[in-house]
Amino acid sequence: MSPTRLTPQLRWWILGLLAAMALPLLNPNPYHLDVLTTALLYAILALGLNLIVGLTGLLHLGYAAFFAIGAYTYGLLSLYAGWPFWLGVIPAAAVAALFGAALGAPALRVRGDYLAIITLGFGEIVRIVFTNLDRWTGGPNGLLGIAHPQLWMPGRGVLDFGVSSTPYYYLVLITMAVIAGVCMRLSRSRVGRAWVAIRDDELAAACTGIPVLQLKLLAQGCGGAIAGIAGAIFAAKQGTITPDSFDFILSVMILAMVVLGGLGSIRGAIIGALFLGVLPEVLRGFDQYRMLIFGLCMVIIIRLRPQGLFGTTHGKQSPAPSHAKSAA
Amino acid sequence: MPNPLLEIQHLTKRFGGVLALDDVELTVGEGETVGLIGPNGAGKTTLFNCVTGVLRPERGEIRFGRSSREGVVGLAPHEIAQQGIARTFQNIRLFSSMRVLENVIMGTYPRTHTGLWSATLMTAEARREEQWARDRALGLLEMVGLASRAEDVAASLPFGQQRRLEIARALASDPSLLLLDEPAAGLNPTEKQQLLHLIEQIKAQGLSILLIEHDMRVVMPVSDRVAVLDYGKKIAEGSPSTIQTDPRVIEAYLGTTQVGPA
Repeated sequence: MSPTRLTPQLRWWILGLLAAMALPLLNPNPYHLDVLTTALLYAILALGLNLIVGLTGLLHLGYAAFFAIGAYTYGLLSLYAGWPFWLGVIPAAAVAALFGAALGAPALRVRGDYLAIITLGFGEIVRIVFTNLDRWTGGPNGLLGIAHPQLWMPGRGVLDFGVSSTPYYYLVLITMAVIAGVCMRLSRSRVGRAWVAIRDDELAAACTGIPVLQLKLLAQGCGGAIAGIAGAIFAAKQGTITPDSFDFILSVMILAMVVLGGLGSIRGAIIGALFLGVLPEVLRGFDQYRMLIFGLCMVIIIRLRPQGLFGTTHGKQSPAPSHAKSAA
Repeated sequence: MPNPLLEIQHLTKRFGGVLALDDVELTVGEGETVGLIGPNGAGKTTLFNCVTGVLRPERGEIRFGRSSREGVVGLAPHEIAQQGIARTFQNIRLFSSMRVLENVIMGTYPRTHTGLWSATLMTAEARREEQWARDRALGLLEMVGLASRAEDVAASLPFGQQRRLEIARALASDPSLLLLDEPAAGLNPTEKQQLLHLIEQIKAQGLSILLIEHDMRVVMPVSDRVAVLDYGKKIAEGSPSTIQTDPRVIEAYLGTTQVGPA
């Protein structure tokens, strides 16, 4: 791996980031910024899920649970212990990572479809637990009055993010950029390559000396931590969280973003999330036909690019031509 | 007889009612190349799977190591790989979506240490290690004659090159024992010659090799010793020349001689 140099690709990333940074100055429409903030939050989630599903190849259908755990961790710490956001985001990430690894330990003994079902169950259980632990979580009414982030600005005193759109837009954008950078470094490192090796051929990976279970847990933990950070930001932005914000549909949406962008691709996860996050809003003019057109767009993309927008893997490939068997 | 590196004793593996391995004994010495032959279904690959921890035998000991040999039965495949046993697969198992160079770099996994934090922070140590792994992988690609394909996707290589790539990946972990599972299967005569040359090169580096192969023109010239499996039992063992004339071996391969009026 060459140390970070200004490759053409990196130049595009910086250009995109600068454009995104300048956007609120050119178009301060709070509705537009809000839609983009939500889409960028999805992008953070898609980046996290991409580590689990895209790189390591573990089909996870309950990813929203980690998002929920992060949101509730910060929410509870804010309400009961008065923790500020900047401090609360750390345990939010840690607890979600812990749950990721804890779920992984028993669940990763099964593969493929079975793992998908277990993770789906996990996602639902987490949501139901938050609904029923009403003594602490407020049950279906959720947590109310979670503190917004505050930032001390030189010369302007303490700025409370409140309910304005712009500060959250920047917060989510910068977090997303940092996480994308971390994901990029990881995916090109020894750890990321080992994840892909497990996805490509688990047996060969084990025989090459890769501790498969440990690395799967690591992927789940990292994915969990990223969702936990997103959850804390979400809770801080909304001020109110309810269990139904973290339902199965959200898990499926994030998975769709990762698949649409191309499994394992970092820019794919981001573009997929922005696309699926913004499209339903763009289509609002079509009123009740909105989701119909949304679905049609998905079908067309899957028809044209089954490997996703930026994907390189074309589903499962058999590494050896068939004549290997006959000659053996 | 050289100092033993791998010692297999009383190795027994059962699949349901079938005895895939029946009280097999086998030793591979340091720097020695042992050929393992036998008809299809004789249990050769099962033996590899037991040695590499993919399968757990019902009974028997597998001890491995240079000075103090320790049992490897019950260890996970990655732990056995860390101890210095590397293998290839009968049906080639590459990391097909990864590039050729990355496949070989993967092989260095047990010899490198970069973890989550050092990879994220890209510490000097992580960079140095990455460079080391890259150089090592390139050197091995050079050796197997694939340096020019380093940046290609592994799945795009022709069959014979995939076999050599798999060997390079196995060598990248700096093993002391290399298990080759039918490396010549599906190769054309030219490729077989290249393979023979490659095995000789590996031998020259002092590695021990356990080689499963059907093609006698490959096994016989490179093996110091040949063991024959049939129905899970070791039926013969000896130098290549004695094995070729052993009546039990001929019988296992060709069947019993039926003498009588035609």
